[in-house]
Amino acid sequence: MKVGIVDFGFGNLKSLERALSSAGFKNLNIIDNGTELHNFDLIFLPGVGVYSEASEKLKHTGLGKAVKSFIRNGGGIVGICLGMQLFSECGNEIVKSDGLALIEGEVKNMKNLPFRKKPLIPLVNWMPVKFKRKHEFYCDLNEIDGKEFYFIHSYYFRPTCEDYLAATYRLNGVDVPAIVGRGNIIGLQFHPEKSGLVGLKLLSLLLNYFKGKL
Amino acid sequence: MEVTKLALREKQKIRLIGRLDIKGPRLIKGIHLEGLRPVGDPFDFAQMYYNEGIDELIYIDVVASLYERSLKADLVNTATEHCFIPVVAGGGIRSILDAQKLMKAGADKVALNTAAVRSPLLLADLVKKLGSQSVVASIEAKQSGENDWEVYTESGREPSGINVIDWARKVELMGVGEILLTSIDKEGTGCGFDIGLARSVVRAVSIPVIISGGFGSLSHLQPVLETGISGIAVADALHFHKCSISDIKAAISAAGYLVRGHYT
Repeated sequence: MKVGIVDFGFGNLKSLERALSSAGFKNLNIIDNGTELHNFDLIFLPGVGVYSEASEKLKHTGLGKAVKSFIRNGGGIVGICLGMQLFSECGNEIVKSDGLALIEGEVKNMKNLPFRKKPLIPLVNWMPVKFKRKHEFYCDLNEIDGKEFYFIHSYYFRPTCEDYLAATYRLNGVDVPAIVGRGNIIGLQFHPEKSGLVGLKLLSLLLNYFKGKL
Repeated sequence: MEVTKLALREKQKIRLIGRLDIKGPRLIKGIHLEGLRPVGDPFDFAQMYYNEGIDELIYIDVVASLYERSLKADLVNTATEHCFIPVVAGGGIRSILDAQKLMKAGADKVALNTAAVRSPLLLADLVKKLGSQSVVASIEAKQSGENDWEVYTESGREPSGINVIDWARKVELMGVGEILLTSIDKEGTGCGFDIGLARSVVRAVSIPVIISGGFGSLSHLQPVLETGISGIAVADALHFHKCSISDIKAAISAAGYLVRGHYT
């Protein structure tokens, strides 16, 4: 299985690369050109930064189109943090901008969520992630159900269709989306590469999941 | 009881952060930053803390701004090689390029003090470029009156004439994600945190505040937790094995707060 990490200037690639390597991913490559995507089976889309800028970059470089095409052709994708949020149709950070539209729904500011008590935003903390048992990811990923992962975000992505919501974390009365996706598309709001051993564990579970699917 | 347990489970955790002050290639210890004493290889310490369950690591080059340089990217590179937890890097960051170099080398967040005080708009520029979650305002403060603290730059060497509350509010306005608040008076003393400082800044802002400086015993935790800080940065107490990470987390938990890895 050929695995690539997409570099569009918005990710902490080094940490992810090392974590994936520790988790058993061999044959890792950095992809900075959309034309290379068809050589891969699985790609990681990491992201740290501002949605509107990332959206612009994906459009401007043609990487956005290339990723959509890659998915249409059966490729697998794991989005992390901003990468996961880019799966949406659009985001509202700074200005309204387009996402990859892999999953229906919009990225919104956490400040708008109906928290019982308003938390400090950005949310920077380790939160236990709870799976929805009926989601298809549960079978392969339930080993990390209830474990704490490192989140750092001000925006959230809740898919329009409930079927795309795989796991959440609970904060002050609100279930915040933590994992989204279906089939070959997995989006993680948290950073598995920054979540210690449990993060590495999740990455190795993902490796097995995709080996079975692709 | 069940309602309390549920409410507790939903609360945010107190983050325990290992702080490593660096001079050149060495981890150092300083009391009020006079007389820096080398402690050893920062990476050995960092790896140990990671293995013991620390939530995050902060590397600050304490003489970088003095020598008009910034924390070396290759130090960050080495530091993040086997450490899969968040890493904050700071020390002499003066430009977006400086910050980007460190992020590329593996840092998750950059911390600025001196350059930010000299030019607050730099913080806003960094936030715009990297996102607020990647920018930490490092504030070093020294008591200047009964309820007043003055901001210092150059790792606590230069008084700025700026009031810490005004500065904290300003950095929040610039969009930074968090504040790393260090008490110059308490740093290296092991006599406890500056509770007044912590309380005053927490009240003034709506972003997470990490308190640093003075931790020396488990009894120091309860009073600082009550101020509403989001995290605690510990240096000497860990470096000199006064307390273990496990003990500190157990004490935070016993005080009624959540930590990663421990539940009541």
